[in-house]
Amino acid sequence: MLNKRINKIRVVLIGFSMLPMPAYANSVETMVQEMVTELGKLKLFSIILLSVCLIAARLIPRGPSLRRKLLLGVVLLTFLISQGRSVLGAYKNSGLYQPRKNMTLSDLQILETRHNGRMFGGKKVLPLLVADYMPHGTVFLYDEKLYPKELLSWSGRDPDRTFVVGGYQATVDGSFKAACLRRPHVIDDGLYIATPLSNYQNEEQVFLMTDGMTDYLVPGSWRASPS
Amino acid sequence: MNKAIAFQVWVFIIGFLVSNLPKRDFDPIFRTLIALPMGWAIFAVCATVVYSVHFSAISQLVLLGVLGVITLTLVATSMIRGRLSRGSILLGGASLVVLTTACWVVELLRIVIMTPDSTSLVRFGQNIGLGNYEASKIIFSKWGPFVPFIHSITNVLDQKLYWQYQALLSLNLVGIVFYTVYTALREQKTSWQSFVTALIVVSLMTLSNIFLFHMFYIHVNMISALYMYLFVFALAKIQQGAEKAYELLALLSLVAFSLVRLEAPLFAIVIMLVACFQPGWSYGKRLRLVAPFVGFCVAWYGRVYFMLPETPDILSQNLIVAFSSILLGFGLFVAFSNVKALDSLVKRTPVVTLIGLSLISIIFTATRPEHMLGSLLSMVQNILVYGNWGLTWYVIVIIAVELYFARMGSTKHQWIFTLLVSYVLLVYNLAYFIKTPYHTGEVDSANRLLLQSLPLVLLYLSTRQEWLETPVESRSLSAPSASGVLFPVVHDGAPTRWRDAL
Repeated sequence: MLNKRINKIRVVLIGFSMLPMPAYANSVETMVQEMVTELGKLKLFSIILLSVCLIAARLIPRGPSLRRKLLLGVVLLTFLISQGRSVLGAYKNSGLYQPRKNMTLSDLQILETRHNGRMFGGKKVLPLLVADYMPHGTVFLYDEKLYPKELLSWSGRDPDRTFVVGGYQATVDGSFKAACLRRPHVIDDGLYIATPLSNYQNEEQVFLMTDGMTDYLVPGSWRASPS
Repeated sequence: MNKAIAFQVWVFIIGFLVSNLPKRDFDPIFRTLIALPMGWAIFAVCATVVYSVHFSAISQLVLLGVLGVITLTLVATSMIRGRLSRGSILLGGASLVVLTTACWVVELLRIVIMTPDSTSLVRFGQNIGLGNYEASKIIFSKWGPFVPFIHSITNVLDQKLYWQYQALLSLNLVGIVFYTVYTALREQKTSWQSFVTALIVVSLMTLSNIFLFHMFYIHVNMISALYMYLFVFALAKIQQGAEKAYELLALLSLVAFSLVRLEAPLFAIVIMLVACFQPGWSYGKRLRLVAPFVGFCVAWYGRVYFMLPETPDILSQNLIVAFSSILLGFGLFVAFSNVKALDSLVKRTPVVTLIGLSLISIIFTATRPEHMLGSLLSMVQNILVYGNWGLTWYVIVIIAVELYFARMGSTKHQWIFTLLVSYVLLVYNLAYFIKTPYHTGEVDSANRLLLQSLPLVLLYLSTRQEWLETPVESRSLSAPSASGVLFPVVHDGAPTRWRDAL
């Protein structure tokens, strides 16, 4: 039994040495190539430089000396240049550190970061939108199976009073669809949302309409009304 | 002044008044630096108690009322005890100016980083503030209540997203790490040398992309790192014989830390098993720290047990029973740690903890080799390549190797090394309980847990200064003489400049 386990560990370890870094690498050569690509040549050079400094530090006798100070200087300079360059690159290229326009959860989720989260990703952004921009409005849904009641309750509002199923013309006709698409909007995961999101702010009624492909979250003032 | 800044100022004042009560034990800068975390810790404790007792729309009002009463009580106590001296008021005023400036800078930057985790924390947190029990209870099975409670006050601030606190607490962490590293270095170096070295040491942390990311990232990691750091630092001070103020700091940090993440109490137990059984710790000190912690956590878990939704996210009722049992077991061990029969075990607790964690690692690895070794590989790969650390860990390794070869005589804070190893082992062991192994990439949970330990790594390195190769300078009056001491300890009858001044 123990031998079996040890053998299994051995197999796994050998396996790792064969298909390490990213899962798709299939040889040590590929692994090194992947590492080099990921690290970038400059960072790799920096790592080699740091390793040389580490070895050199072992060769120079201990105690205060100019050579040791120089070595420390090289390590620090390498670190500062490499990290500074990396941080600057992230600042310029990632967009992570850009000032946000609207500090609202739904704006960040729907318009800026657009993460496909398990709880509030894609069509499930509706509770966020309701929480931020529909403090009093009623939301009409064409099918009760579209959103679980628990998800709707996460809007912070009473789901029974806020969300009404049916009782209106839910199908979007061609001309209304064209009118909607001419207005500023985003479509994510088959859900049309008018932008800016403040469009929904003062609406007493908001309708979820559909053309069979896409759902349209339509402010009531856009002349859609319960039948 | 907008309401978000006003609220930060209020929280700061609460923290400052608390840290000002035993002001003779904390030096002025440290007292100012810990004010904001202490204020938030008190907020979190109050919110936990209020929402545990009664969860409705009125709970928020009650919470604000409780905080108001605490503020007034602290002001009255400070006045009665004569703690609001001119110096203290000036210090508080000056630090308020700094805090307000920092708040404005954060407001101007308008940087916030969100992921699906952040969205959940914020949305459910806001539902707590509305008193909507059904729409928020799932969050307690996903994370600790601390960060959701912070977001619960969003409606009070007339905002749709409370984001400013994250950057401020992150800056606070940088400030605390810098100052504590500086004071540790100051033991043997001149002010200028200590300042430059502390700057370099802290840059190992702040100049990494992953740290910068987390400074603005609405999540639990930075707050967790902050309280864990303060907790361990306070433990180090208690071990050195510091006065009861550090026991208060340790307890508040410990409770706050335990309220941030679900698994935090486990980390807290491991930290205490390593730190609180070192020489310098008395039975009474241990009990004063552990008893309230265990009581508070078990009571909270007891409440959460009945709050969990039908399909909880991570924390199930079985897990609650397991966590509570571990906490109670730990509490009993500490309670009986003065029994002579356990003496030999108690003395060796740190080593036994380390060995125990190592054995568990081996057992877990043998049981699920692919899963565990895959996790280990990912952890190493993240540190070296994929975790967005840049060269941080490479430089730390170089310093660690230098330290090893320096073979310095002092073993005063060697327990921090044991603590760090135990921490990493626990992170590794936790992989056993997750469905898929740790993966590569900066957002991996093990990578984030390692991020939380980085300030402690820097603190440990700063207590081992030989790698700098700078000869010990003649010390000035402000530098205490006890070598290896983390921070000037004030003993009765040994006044320092700041003690006399403030």
